[in-house]
Formats: sequence, C-alpha cells, structure tokens
Amino acid sequence: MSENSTTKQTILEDGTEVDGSIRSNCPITISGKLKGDVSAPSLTITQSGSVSGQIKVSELKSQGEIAGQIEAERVELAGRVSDQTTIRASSLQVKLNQDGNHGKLQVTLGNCELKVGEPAAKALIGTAKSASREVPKKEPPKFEVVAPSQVLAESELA
Amino acid sequence: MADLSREEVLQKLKSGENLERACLRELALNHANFECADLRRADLEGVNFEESNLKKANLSCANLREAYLMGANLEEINLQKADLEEANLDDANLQFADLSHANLEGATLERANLKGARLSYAQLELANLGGALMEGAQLSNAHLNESYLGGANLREANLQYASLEKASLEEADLTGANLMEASLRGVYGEGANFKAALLKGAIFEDAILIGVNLSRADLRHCHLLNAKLTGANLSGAKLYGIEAVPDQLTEISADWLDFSADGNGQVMIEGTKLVEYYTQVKNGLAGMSADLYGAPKRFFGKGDVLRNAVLEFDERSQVEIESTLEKCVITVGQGSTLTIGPHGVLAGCQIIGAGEIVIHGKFLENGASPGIVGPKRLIVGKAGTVVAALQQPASLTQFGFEHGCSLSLKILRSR
Repeated sequence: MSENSTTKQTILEDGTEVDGSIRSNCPITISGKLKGDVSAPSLTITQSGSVSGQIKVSELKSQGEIAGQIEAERVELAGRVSDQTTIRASSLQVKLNQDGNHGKLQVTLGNCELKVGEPAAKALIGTAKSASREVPKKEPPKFEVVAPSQVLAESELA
Repeated sequence: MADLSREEVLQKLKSGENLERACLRELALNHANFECADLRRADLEGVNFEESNLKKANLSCANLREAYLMGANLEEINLQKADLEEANLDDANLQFADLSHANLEGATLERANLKGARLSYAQLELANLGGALMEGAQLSNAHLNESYLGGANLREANLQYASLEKASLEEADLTGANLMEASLRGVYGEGANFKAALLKGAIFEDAILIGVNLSRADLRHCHLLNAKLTGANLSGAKLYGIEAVPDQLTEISADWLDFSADGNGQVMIEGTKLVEYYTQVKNGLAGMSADLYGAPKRFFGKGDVLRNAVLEFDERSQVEIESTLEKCVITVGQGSTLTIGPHGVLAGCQIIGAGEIVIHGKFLENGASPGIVGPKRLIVGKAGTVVAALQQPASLTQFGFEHGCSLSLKILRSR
C-alpha cells in the first residue's frame, strides 16, 4: 500500500476495499473504499474513493464520498457528504462550478453538520451583542435575608 | 552554375518542354513569362524572377533560396514544400498560391498579396510580412515566430494552432480571424484589431496588447497571464475560462462582457464590474448574480436596523443588505439574489425561497429553525459567518464556501 519514493505516499487504489483503520505519517490517497478511521497529515479522496469513519488529518481534499466524523485544519470539498456526517475544520473551501447556470452540483450534502472557523458560539454571542441595539432591562439585585448566626466572620472564611 | 542560359530556358518554355529538376541557379529570368510552367524540384537558388509571370506554374519542392521575386505574378502558383528561405517576394502577387509546408524563413513579403493563399504548416519564422494582404489566407499550424506582420491585413484569415511567438502584429487587422489555440506568447500587438476574432484557447502570455480592439472576440479559455491590456477594448468579448490576474483587467474598456460557458450571452457583466466579478470567478465564488444584469436592485444601507419585518422580494430581484435585520422573515423569489454585505447582519431571521444567498457578513439563525429554507445556492465568502440550519430543496442546494468563512451549519435534506 505504501511506496518508497522521494515523497512517500499511501495509496488505496480503485477496486480495493479495506475494513480497518489507517494511521500514517505520510499523505494518503484513496481511490478505493475504506471503512474505518484515518489519521494522517493529509488525505486525498478521488472521485472513485470513499471513506466512512473518523478522519483526523491536517488537510483533506475530497472529490469522492465521505461519511463519519471529520476533523481537519483545511478542507477542500467536492463530491458527496453522506448523512450523519460532521465536519470540523479551521478552513473549508467548496468551489462552485463556473458555469453554474447548468446547475451541476460540485458537492452534494446529505443531512450533515459543518463546523468551520472560529467557534460558532463565539461569533453568535459577539455579533448578536453588536447587532442588537436593545438594552436588556436590568433586574434589581435580589437580597436574601439570612439569620445573623449564618453570617460568617471574614476571619472564619480565611 | 546553371545548366541552361536564359535564352535556352525561354526557348524550352516556348516549345512546351518540361523544366522539372532543371538547374537554373543564379539565372536572370526577370520579366519573362512562365505561366503554367513545370519547374518541379528545379534548382532556382538566387534566380531573378523580378516581375515575371509565373501564374499557375508548378514549383513544388523547388529550391528558391534567396530568389528575387519582387513584383512577380505568382497567382495560383504551386509552391508546396518549396524552399524560399530569405527569398524576396516584396509586392508579389500570390493570390490563391499554394505555399503549404513551404519554407519562407527570413523571406521578405512586404506588401505582397496573399489573399486566399494556402500557407498551412509553412515556416515563416523571421519573415517580413509588413503591410501584406492576407485576407482569408490559410495559415493553420504555420510557424510565424518573430515574424513581422505590422499593418498586415489578416481579416478572416485562418491561423488555428499557428505559432506567432514574439511576432509583431502592430496595427495588423485580424478582424474575424481564427486564432483558436494559436500561440501568441510575447507577441507585440499594439493597436492590432482582433474584432470578432476567434481566440478560444489562444496563448497570449507576456503579450503586449496595448490599445488592441478585442470587441466581440471569443477569448474563452485564453491564457492572458502577464499580458499588457492597457486601453484594450473588450466590449462584448467572451471571457469564460480566461487565465489572467484580476489586476490585468483594470485598464481595459468595455460596455459589457460575456461570461457564459457557451458564449451565448446568458451571463452578461457590466464593464465596470469586470474586476469584481472576475475576482469572484477566480475564487470559485462567481454567483448567478451575473445573470441578473439589469434586474431591479434593493439596497439596505449600513447603520440601519430593521426589526420584526416580513419582506417579500419578487422573482429575479437583487437585494443587498449592509444593515442589521433582527427577527425578520425574508422571502426571495426564484432567480433572485440576496447578498448580505460585509457589514450586514441578519440575527434571528429566516430566509425562505429558491433564490441565491451570498453571505459576506453574518447570518445568525437564533430563532425559527431552519433559518434558511429552500435556497438554490448558498455562497459564503471568506469573511462570512453562518450559524443556522439549512433545509435544502428537492433539487438540492449548490454550495460555495471560501477559505476563511465561519460556519456552524446544520444541513437537512428536503422533507
């Protein structure tokens, strides 16, 4: 599966199916089918390739089919993303067809989740605050009456 | 030296004798009549044919190196595979001559009439064709590297697959010429006219195209990297798939341009928007918005806030939002484009309809879910943020995401 050359690469050719995990310190190209987890610096899935499982890579380029939990720094996506797939990435690119009027899909997304870039919640909070000019009404501070015996002296707290 | 004298040659011609393979080197055969003569494979190196009549003569495979043919009548002559290296053909009449596969390297053909001549696969490197009339000439696969074609008339000429590297086309007229997949690397073409020329797949890298007329030219898939296009007129030119840097297009003039794949005018761009649009194309984010040339526009300016509104936009509308919209429901008709600009924020909003959504600002669902329902396209630019669920239509949504965008997007198939 791997070959020794100036730039090492692991290749899973079209027509080959593997059930199991791959962990590699060199780039992986998949043109066949892989059911299992992948961990590598980079993963390229060609048009005929498919990977179903947990993918942890720095760079993912997919033109084939992916399914599962994907974590990557940088993702370039085309092809198909199956149902129940989550992609977490620092950066994602999906190119449109230049002749978009022909309506051909560059990527087909099933029921999936994309979590890309800064944590979405951070963007949500930060922008929602600046977006809204409504000032929330301040609730008056609530005081609870406590018995003097429950009040602890500062020295006791220390 | 020649086997025959001038008189002997003329006598043989008179009696209808064959001069095939004759050795007539350096002979003075000027002002003579060689009409329909058979001089196949003859050795005519350095021969003087000045103002002679060689109409319909057969000189195929003849050696005419350094021959002097100035002002000669060579109409319909057969010069297939002839060697005319450094020959002088200035002011010669070569109308409908057959020069296919001929060698004319370094030859001079100033003001020659080559109307309808056949020069396919001819070697014309370093040839001087200044002011030549080559209207409708066949020059497919010809080699014209470093040739001079200044002021030449090449209207409707066929230069398909020809090589014109570093050639000079200054002020040449190439109206309606076919230069498909021709190589014009480093060509000097200042002031040349390529109006309605077919330049599909041609290579213009490092070319000087200052002030050229490329109006209505078909430049699809053309390579224009490093080409200088200052003052070039590209009105109505077809530019789909060109290879260039957006900055190269800043100094061109054009009323409109065609970016449709088929060159059928379905995607029209205003000249003033070319750089912006081409930048989007380069980033893979060119939207259908180009198709909306002339469609009505709605603009929501920066700083405005709109809350709890219901907005409905008709088919083929262009809507641009730089404002803040809160808890609004927006319906976009088919073929419409809703653009959230870099300052635009849609918080707690819902967008419904089969239009195209382009997000350079922020869309934060934070309310009714899914926040985006049934879009034909969703494009998120490098500065765009989307936090939402998206319900795709039955035909599925086309997605375009640029590196740098921020997404928390739950995508759902149509119910």
